[in-house]
Amino acid sequence: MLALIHNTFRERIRGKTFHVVAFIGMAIMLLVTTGDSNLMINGRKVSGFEQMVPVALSITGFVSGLLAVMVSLRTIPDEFERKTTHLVLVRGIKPWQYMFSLTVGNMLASLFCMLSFYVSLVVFCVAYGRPGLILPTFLCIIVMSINSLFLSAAVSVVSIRAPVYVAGVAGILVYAAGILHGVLDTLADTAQGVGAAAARILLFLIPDLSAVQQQASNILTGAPVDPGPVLATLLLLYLVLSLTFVLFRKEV
Amino acid sequence: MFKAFTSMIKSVEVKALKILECCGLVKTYGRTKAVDGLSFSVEKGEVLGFLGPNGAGKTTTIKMILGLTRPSGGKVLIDRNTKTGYSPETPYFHPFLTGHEVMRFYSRLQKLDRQTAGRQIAELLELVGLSGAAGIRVRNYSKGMLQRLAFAQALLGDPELLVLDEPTSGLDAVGRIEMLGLIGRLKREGKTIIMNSHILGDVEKVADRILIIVNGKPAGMADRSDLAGAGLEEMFVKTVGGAGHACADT
Repeated sequence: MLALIHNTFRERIRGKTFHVVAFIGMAIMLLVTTGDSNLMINGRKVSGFEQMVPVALSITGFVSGLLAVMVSLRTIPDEFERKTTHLVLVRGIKPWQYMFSLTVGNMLASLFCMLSFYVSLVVFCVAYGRPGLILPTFLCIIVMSINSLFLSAAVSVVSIRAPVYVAGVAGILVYAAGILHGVLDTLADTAQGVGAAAARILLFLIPDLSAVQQQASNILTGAPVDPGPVLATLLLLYLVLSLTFVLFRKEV
Repeated sequence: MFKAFTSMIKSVEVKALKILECCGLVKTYGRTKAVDGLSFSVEKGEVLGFLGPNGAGKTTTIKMILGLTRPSGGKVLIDRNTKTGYSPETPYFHPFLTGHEVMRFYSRLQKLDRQTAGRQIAELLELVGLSGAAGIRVRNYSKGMLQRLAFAQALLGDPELLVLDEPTSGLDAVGRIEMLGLIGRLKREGKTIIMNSHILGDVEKVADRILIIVNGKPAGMADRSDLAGAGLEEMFVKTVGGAGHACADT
């Protein structure tokens, strides 16, 4: 299994798309957060470290989420398409070991991407004269990476049975629903009947990614951290990962 | 005691000389029967040639033997301890890996220790003439080079049973002669080989027995003595019906 995980990670990291998107993401974040910013929110100029932290983390979260979806999208369908599955399965690797390893490989590639954003956040902290926040920034990135890990696992699991574009759309929808969890929660409260029940189930299955991001932000700003959303996302991540034990394609 | 490739396999003891036995194999895709009641056995140390027109069900049969697809009926019996190597018809590898990395990857999946793997990889790449190209990414390999690499990875771990699906496909004349020479050498070393091909001459050169499949059904079985008088081509044309099948010796 380690060989499969290592191979998947290696394939993802060697991809050109990965490097291009990661570079663009880091560049945008540094330009927005460390330049002479004219960023306005609700008509007020956003400046100062405390105000810029959520902005920096939002950009990091968005780009890393996008990367997690892109990195995880093709791994499993490619294996079936080019039939590399044959030479793996004839060696006694069980389908669940195979799918689990590919998913974990994708997750590690997404984690690696998050760690590369750590460098950008460190530059951001130093630019605002807060070098003492380098360690908290690392903790912040670790918490943020839970979102990427969840997205990566979800897209990987969907791609076991569904075509690439379905997995991609599913990934983006999960990300959007996760970030807008609070808004959707309010909307669900206004719904009635079957619609309300369906919305509640959906919201239960999709973690509150914005709440996780908020906890990461709190680590940097020194505000109290609520472990609830983080633990809930980890639990859902575990459930999604466990699906790799039962899902496989009929024909390889 | 026996490896259950399908849910239908029963723990029946395979006779000592037989390394593999297929009983009444059936595979259906919707209403189409790709394989229809195929029974045969393979004895230790022999080369069994699978011959048949395109779409006869040869590759489907091989996939059932390897456990890559579940038979719709019948059973495959193989000793659990039999080490099997497989060289696919269209070699498919991770394109970002070099030839050496491909071999290393599969050796790790087979849990070969580092020292054994290193030795075998060097020997096998030398054997198939890819030592000089071991550091090149496989996306830059020609079809013939991929075929050789597929053959090399099938031999990792010194398997007793080799399943070769169109092993000479994509090779030039010299490569084809070398490949058939290698198969002959492995046969002399006592390996059991199932070779699937649509090239009559290749099968005739190396096979001890030949199973002809047409429309998923066994259409004939011949051994070397049967072929002594009439050539394989003549026999094949008689069995298959000649015209309309792309099986000429090329």
